[in-house]
Amino acid sequence: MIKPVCCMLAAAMFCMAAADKVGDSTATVVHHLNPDTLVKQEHATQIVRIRNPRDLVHIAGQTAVNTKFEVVGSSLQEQTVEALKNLDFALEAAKCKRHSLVSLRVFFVSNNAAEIRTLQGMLKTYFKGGPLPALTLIGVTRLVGDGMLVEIEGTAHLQDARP
Amino acid sequence: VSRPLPALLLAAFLLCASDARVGNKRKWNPEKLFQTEDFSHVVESRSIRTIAFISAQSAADPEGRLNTADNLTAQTRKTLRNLAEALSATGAVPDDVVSMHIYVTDYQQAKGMIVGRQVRKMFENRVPASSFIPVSQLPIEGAQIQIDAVVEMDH
Repeated sequence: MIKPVCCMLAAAMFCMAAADKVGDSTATVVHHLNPDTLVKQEHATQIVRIRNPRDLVHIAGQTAVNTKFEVVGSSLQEQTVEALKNLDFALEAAKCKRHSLVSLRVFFVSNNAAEIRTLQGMLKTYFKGGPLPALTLIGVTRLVGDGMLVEIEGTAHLQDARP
Repeated sequence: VSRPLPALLLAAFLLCASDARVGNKRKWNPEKLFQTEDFSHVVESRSIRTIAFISAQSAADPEGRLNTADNLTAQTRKTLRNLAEALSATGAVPDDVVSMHIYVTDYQQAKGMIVGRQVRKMFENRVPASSFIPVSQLPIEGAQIQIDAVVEMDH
C-alpha cells in the first residue's frame, strides 16, 4: 500500500519539476548564487544570473559631486554616502530600485584596511538585507576630479516597471 | 622541405586564435586593430537567453584565506580556478565569458605576460574581450590579482 503511494508521489514531484522546467524556459528569473566552492561575502553575491533578461541599464560611475560638479565630503565614508545618493538618483531616473542592481564596480582611493571594511559595510547597509549585486572593489591612486575618493558604477536589470 | 609545414600550422593556429566561433559567439580581432592573443577586441554573442555577472575572484579559498607567500603566478592560477568554479556554479563554460576585467597591483609589463599566459591556457586561446587594469589596492590584503567577468549563454 505504501509503495504505490510513494510511486505516485514521486511521479507527481517529477511532473512538477518538469513543469517548472517548462516555465523556466520563458520566464525572467534572477538568481543570486553563492556556491560553497567560493568565499562567502556579506556585502556581495558571487554570481548574479538572469535567465531571459529584460532591459539592462548601465549607470556611469557616480561620485560624491553635487549638480555643480563640486566634491561633497572629505573622507571616504562621507563621500560614499554622497555617491550612493547619486546612484539612487540615477536608478530612480531609469525606474530601477536598489535591488535591481545586478553588478557594481566601486573604485576607491585608500590603502587603509579599516576604511575598506567600512566601505564594504556601507554597501551591505545600502541594500538593506535585499539581494546583493556581484561586486568588484578596486583601489586606485586617484579619480578624475581632484579630491574624489570613490566612484560607483553599476548595471541594473529592469524587470518589472517599464517607462 | 620540413619548414613550410610548421609555418602553415602556425599560420592556421594564429588564424584560429584571432577568429574563434563557438556556439552563439564570435570572438575576434578585426584587422584594423592591433593583433593580440591575450584578448579579443570584439566579441559578438547572439540569441542570449542567460546573462551572469561574476564578482571579482581572487586567490582566496572558500574560507577567505589567501596565502600571501604565493607569487603572482600562483595567485593567478588560484584566481582562474575560482573563476572556473563560479562558471561551473552557473552552468557556464569558459567560452561563455564575453568580457573580463583583470586587476593587478604593483603592475609591471612582465606581470601582464604571466597573467596572459594562464588566461590563454584557460580559454584555450578563445579569449574574451578584456581590460587589464593596474591598481593601487585590492580589498583582500596581500591580493595581487582579481578578475571579474560577464557571461552570456544561449540556453
